[in-house]
Amino acid sequence: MAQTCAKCSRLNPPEALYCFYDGMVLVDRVSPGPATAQTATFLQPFIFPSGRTCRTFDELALACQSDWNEARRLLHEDAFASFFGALGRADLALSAREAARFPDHDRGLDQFLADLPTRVLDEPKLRCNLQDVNLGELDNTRARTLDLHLENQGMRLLYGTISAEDCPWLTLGDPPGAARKLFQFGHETTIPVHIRPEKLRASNKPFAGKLLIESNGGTWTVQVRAQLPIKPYPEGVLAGALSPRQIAEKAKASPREAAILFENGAVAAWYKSNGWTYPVSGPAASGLGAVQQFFEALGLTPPPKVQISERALSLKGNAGESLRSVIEVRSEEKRPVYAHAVSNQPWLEVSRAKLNGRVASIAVAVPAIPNRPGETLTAKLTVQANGNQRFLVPVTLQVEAGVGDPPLLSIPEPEPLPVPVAAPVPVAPMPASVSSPPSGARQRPARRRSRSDLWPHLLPAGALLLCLLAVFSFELWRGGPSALERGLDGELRVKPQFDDQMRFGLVMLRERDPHNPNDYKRLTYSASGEFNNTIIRIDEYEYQFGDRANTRVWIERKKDLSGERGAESTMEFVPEKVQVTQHVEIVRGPTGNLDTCLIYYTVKNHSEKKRQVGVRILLDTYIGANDGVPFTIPGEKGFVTTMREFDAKQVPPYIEAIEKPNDADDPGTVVRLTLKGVSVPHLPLEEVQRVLICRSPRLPRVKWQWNVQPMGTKKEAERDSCVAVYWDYLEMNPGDERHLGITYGLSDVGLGEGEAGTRLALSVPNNVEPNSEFDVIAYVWGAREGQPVQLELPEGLQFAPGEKASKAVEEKATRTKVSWRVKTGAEGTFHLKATSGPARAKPTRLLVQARSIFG
Amino acid sequence: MSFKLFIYYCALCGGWAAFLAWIVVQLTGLQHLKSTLATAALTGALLGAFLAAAIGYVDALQNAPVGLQRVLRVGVCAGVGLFGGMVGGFVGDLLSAFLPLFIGWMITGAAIGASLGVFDILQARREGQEVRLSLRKTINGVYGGLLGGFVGGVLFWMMMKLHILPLSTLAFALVILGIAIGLLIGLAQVVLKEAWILVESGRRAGRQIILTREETVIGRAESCDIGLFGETGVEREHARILLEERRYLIQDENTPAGTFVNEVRVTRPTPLRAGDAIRIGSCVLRFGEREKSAPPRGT
Repeated sequence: MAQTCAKCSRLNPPEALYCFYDGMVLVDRVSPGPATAQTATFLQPFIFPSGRTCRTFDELALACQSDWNEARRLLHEDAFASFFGALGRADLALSAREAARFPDHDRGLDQFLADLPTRVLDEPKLRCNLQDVNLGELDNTRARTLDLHLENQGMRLLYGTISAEDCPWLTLGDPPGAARKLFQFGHETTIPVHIRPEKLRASNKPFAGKLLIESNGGTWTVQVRAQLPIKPYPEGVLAGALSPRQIAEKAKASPREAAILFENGAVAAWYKSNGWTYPVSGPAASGLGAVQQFFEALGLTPPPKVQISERALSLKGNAGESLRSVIEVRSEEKRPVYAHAVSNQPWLEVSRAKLNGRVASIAVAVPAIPNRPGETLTAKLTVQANGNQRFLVPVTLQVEAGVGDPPLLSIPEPEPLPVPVAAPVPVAPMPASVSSPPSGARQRPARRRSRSDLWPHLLPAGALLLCLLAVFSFELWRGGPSALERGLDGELRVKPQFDDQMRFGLVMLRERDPHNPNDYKRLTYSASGEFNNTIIRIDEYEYQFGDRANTRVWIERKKDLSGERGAESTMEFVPEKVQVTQHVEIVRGPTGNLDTCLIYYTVKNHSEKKRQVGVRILLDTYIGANDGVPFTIPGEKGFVTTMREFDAKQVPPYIEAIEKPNDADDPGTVVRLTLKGVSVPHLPLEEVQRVLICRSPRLPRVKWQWNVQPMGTKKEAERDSCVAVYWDYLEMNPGDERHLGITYGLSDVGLGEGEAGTRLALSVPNNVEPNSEFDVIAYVWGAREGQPVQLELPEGLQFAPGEKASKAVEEKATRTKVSWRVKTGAEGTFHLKATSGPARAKPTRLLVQARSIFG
Repeated sequence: MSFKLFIYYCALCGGWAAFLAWIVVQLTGLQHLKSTLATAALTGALLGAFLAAAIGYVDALQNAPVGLQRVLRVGVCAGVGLFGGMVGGFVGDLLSAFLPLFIGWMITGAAIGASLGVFDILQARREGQEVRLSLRKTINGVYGGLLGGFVGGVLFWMMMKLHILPLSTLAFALVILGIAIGLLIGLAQVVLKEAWILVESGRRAGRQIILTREETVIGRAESCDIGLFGETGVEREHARILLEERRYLIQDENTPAGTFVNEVRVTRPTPLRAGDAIRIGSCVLRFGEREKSAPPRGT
């Protein structure tokens, strides 16, 4: 049966007499009586040099304990290892050798004694003479010391550390002491503890510290308490002050008397005597400036904003001369100004500032200009004033060249030519007026170009700049963008409004909401666009533009583009690395006024993969109080009142709606959604691929596709309309960009005077390309079926093949329309007219224009 | 005129020329023609002609003799610029849907740059001289024009994207384009020059002239390529700098006062090295030459 060592609790074989690990006698195997290992006699005794003979482990251990130094030496010389080796105790011999190699010999011997199979040596045990110390009131000008007596109440070696925890005012060991100290001893030792009151900040509360002693003989804690009361300010108008605040209060009461104490450093000294940090950095100001400085440092008063008289100093003089200059730091506020300056060059000296109320004057001097003629020396002056306001003043010192100085323009001399390149002939006599330049030497230019020589060259550049500014001013004076061209004002007629997700609504700034006169008239159901949304479809996912989440973040949200005309915002769809920029801006529309909202998106694939991207804009259309106006589609008969879808080929150039379609006297507001021909300078906009007119889903987060419903019943009041505009779901290569845009805003129909109950109005596109076809719409009110309507085209426009100038009204209705296909020729502005009997439409302007690379 | 002033005036005249072109475009209504292609071509032609004439004039002041030749030079430059600008505007507008907009500007710039050397080529042909140096000048101009068209075109495009005050924006953008083209053409001529003369002393001290012909005449006659007007001791045609087998030689025209290279009188065509001082009468000229690449080894 295996045996367990009574000392180390390890298992040993059943036949073992001694523990394999620590040499202890295994009790079960030893017969009762004295024949235990520690008392068993060695085959031969161990004899110390002193003559002390040890025959057992107990005797050996006791001898080592009592004659520690000798035992330490013997261990180090491997005497114990040899002895135990000869005894056949290889385990102990090995232990002795390992102990001998211990860096600290005392610790090595202690380790060896711990391994000996003996019980006569007690374990070390720590005891300290102090446990709780109250030092009473301290004087922070005098250091004190406290002795800590440590005692080993056991045997062998006691070792460990002592530390002063979180109290920098207590240090240990030899002066100045440290926060932590190691110790080891056999019987006792004394460790000095230094009390350093200069590390204490005077306070009305007592200080407490703790000394923690940790050793192999146990742990001990010593509590140390002390007090350092605040010294009151000793003299003058500040006498008796016990805190900085009280100092400030007394200084405020007697600023001029207190100023002297701040200026001469008495207050700073009082701070120091209490162990506090004086809050003013840098030299003390003088006079009331010193009080201001202290108040600013305490944060009791804000520093005045100061200005410096010289942003740069330029000095000039001959070597050896002295130069002086003055820099002033001043404030517009009625507060004392203080300042001081430091130079980074020895040749530039700065004097203490003279303070005079709101002005601080700093004298700058060059006592003797360095003897470096022709050079320009530089220095930096750092001026610090109230509230740590800093100024960096560059100083240049031009040392003028005297007689015989090196030339102003130094040009490296060329190498002399080694061989003449032409056959030498006698040199002709030089003309008297010409000085002969030395052979191969480079002459100095006749004169250096002075600044005044440069002005004539700068004049034409200045004249060009003035001309450009004149053009700019003229255009600005005429009233803003396009004003020169159209002579129109720059007032906004409509304004976009944005919600947090940069969805946008549109309101009319010159008209009021019919239901709520306090609000502007709306052109979208929600004034801030909550029911409009834009879906970005990337690969298999659909995102709502502006709906921020971890996977889609704002890169930029720039509102108030060009005043209040719009906003540009960019969102990144992080997983796909696709960036979409929404640009919403009020531009000039068909009326020529700033009443149309240009909406365009730039999609960029920043990823390294191909992406499928599509965009859909949903506009919840609305005019004033009418949510279900019938839409007019150029080139189509009748009006859209239910639902209509257009594919890429069918997409009309624009869709138009009239607020009060049946009121010929007051049709109200006319809105137009332009789908084709929208141009942004130098951005190729893609064609719209699909348009859907239907009932508004009235769900802010409606997706790419939804359950589409017709606009509603035949009654206008119950109808609810929206327009969705789609750009195809296309593959974009890495780095590809797409630009997609429409406009939505006000339009105007040329409603003319009517007779016999018939009224006419004309509607044409905003802008038509030369040599293209377009539709002209004539709205007709109060017409009878078959009533002819005639369109008059000016020169430069002609009817498309198969079209006639005169067309008949096809149905009898309160309002109906007739349309013509017209072909353009060259660029220009044209006025179209329509008549129906005595009724006439107002002539309507058509702009035929194309844009070239010249803008 | 020093090289720095030459570059400065090339840029400045480019800017002024573009501004004048803008005024003409606004006054004539070129922007409202029947087709954009026509607008682009004609505007480009106008801009090219004005720019080339302006830069050509600066070049003539710097490097050409006085008199009728300067007028002819400017005229040839304007013609080449007109044609190049027309092609640049047409092609640029035609390709604007597929290629960046500044392609057209680069073509226009290249034509303007080339226009500087065309007169020299024609003159060399007429006089039976080699055209290598003139061709070099033309190519340098093309480099500068291409780069100027690119830089100016990018700036033009960026400005036009601002959407503010269309008239003045276009004016500013065109002026910047003109400045860029002029600046870089001037810079290319100076940086890529092969040989030049610096007038170090005399009435026109500081003037720098690029040698662009096989034979450069120095003297006080108006027809001289390097005119030393009003200088004492200078004959009407005093000396010639000749380019022979890629070496520059100076030859005195049997003048009584003589021509000196590094104070050694020239009695026969004498090779010039970079840094040589040429004294003609009371004038000292310094010859400068770009470091030549080592000739290929072997035969």
